[in-house]
Amino acid sequence: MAEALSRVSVGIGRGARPRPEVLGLSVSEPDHLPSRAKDLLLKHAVVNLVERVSRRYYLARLGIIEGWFREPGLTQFIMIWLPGVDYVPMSVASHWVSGGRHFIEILFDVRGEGTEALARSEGSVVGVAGPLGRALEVDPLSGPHLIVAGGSAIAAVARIAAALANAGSKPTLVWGVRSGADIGSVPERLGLRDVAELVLCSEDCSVGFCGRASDAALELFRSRRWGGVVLAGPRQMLLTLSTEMLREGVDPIVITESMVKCGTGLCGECVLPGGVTLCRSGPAFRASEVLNHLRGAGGWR
Amino acid sequence: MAVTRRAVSDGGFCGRLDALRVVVGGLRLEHPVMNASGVLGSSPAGIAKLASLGFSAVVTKTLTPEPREGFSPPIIVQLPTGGILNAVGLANPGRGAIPALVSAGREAGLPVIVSIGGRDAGEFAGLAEVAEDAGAAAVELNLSCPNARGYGMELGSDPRVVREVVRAVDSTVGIPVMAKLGLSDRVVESAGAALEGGADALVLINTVRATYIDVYTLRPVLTATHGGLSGPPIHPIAVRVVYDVFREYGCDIVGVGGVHDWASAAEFIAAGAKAVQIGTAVAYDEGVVRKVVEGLARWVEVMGASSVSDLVGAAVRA
Repeated sequence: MAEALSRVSVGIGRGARPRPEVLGLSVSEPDHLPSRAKDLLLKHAVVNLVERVSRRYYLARLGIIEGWFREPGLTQFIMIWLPGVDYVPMSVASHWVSGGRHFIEILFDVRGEGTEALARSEGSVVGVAGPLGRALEVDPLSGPHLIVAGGSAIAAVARIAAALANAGSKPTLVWGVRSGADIGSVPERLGLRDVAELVLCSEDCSVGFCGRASDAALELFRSRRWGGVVLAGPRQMLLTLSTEMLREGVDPIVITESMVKCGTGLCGECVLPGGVTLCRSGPAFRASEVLNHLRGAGGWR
Repeated sequence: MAVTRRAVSDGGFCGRLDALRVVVGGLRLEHPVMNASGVLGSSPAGIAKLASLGFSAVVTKTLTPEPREGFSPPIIVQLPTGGILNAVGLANPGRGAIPALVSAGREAGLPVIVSIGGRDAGEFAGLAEVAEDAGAAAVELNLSCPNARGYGMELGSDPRVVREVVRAVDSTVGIPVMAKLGLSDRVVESAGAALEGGADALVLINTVRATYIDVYTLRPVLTATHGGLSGPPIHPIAVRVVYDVFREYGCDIVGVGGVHDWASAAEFIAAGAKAVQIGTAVAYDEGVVRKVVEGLARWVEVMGASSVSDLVGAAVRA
């Protein structure tokens, strides 16, 4: 697998790796396709940087080669094609445009072949499909927001916090990790302290609140009246918090854990009970819409 | 035709939805648009999703005797030239899932066509029996998947095997049997063999084997290297096959391949299809089924026909 990627980065032709971004060569915009098809189409990105930002997490910066890539809305995601290795869904932790090029940062931990290849992909060309899914709209005027993230799901909410802060409504952001060593420079690299009141939680009690993010979040949830609540993280965390909050009359927005396989809405792998397709209508839902999914009902696998 | 229901009005013109009722292979449908197998129908939730899109019948993903994991991603990719390439590898939960899938469709009030795929006539017959016992309205025999060794196209491109498989299923179950065939040099011959074997209808065509290579990384994008091409690029090919088979046999046909609006569906009907299936277009527009149905209703009226059935094969010259 690592060998497969190294072929991509150094093994082309007589040993040079493709540098389309330097030569100014990019695939033309397929104007004959509907916009949805353009989103689904693989664009190309050079992995400009991969950095280990904590014991657990890596940050990768992708420079999209095709200028016609469309800016991802909040919670919209991308699929990254690691040639010959895997095709993995990723949250967009940050996005900006510079010199007419789109840049995306993703945060991930190594869980399998795909993310292992991603961790070694600096300098490579990868494929990027997206933006996919439905963009979330948040209302900064509804009052202060409570955002809760578990583990790498911090990547899925970082842009929500930034959007709220930019609109003058700096949210409270609870981020829970297993160990304080997982935090590293993630808050700085994602600018979390600039855009939110950051509450760190560690299960090993080495940093911040001692315990799970859901415990800290419930305390905060009950301490004041919130204009909106956004949850992202492992299914059990979402289920625990959603159940409690729904019981108290609040229907939070939950960003469901990615189980996307193709991203087109056709393969059926991410259809939730009741017939909602996560890759198209999600990944952000009202908790009341996806409670059965959070309880573990779902597809055939 | 008793009461005339009116379709959504647009520009002062309405189509009659009851003029779209068809009977294909003995199966009565409210309108001629069902889903293509392979899209969404591998779980009860997926069947519920299909039902919500407005199809007149739901076709399950192809079920094999045992569960299959299929290929690793990427399994479905958009192509820059249009259309989608897939090599899912017949991933499915196996025959044990058939009763739950049929129940999900029936709960939604729709006939369920169970797509089945075996490696020989005996496996097909066994699967068909399970489907009939579960309450399926019909079975669709996958004799055309281009992506799974030992299944689909490997059987369907041999007319002798097609005849044997269809005959085995037809003599085992009483529900309608539809044989889904793919593009091959002998597709008209295979169609004849399926009819000789007792097929009540033919489903034409499946995806067309194709390859997509990334020009920077110099790799085929699909994990399986080759896949099945679907969507508008294969529409004229599918129309040709429907035309030729209808001209030869005048049989009941379900046209599949690249239907994305009412006109591309109407073309199939004019070529000889009594019904059509839609797959790829759902990836772009979940409202596509309703638009096609409304468009067909208006087409029937514009053409001065009393029923869509009057237009089946209207373009075919003997």
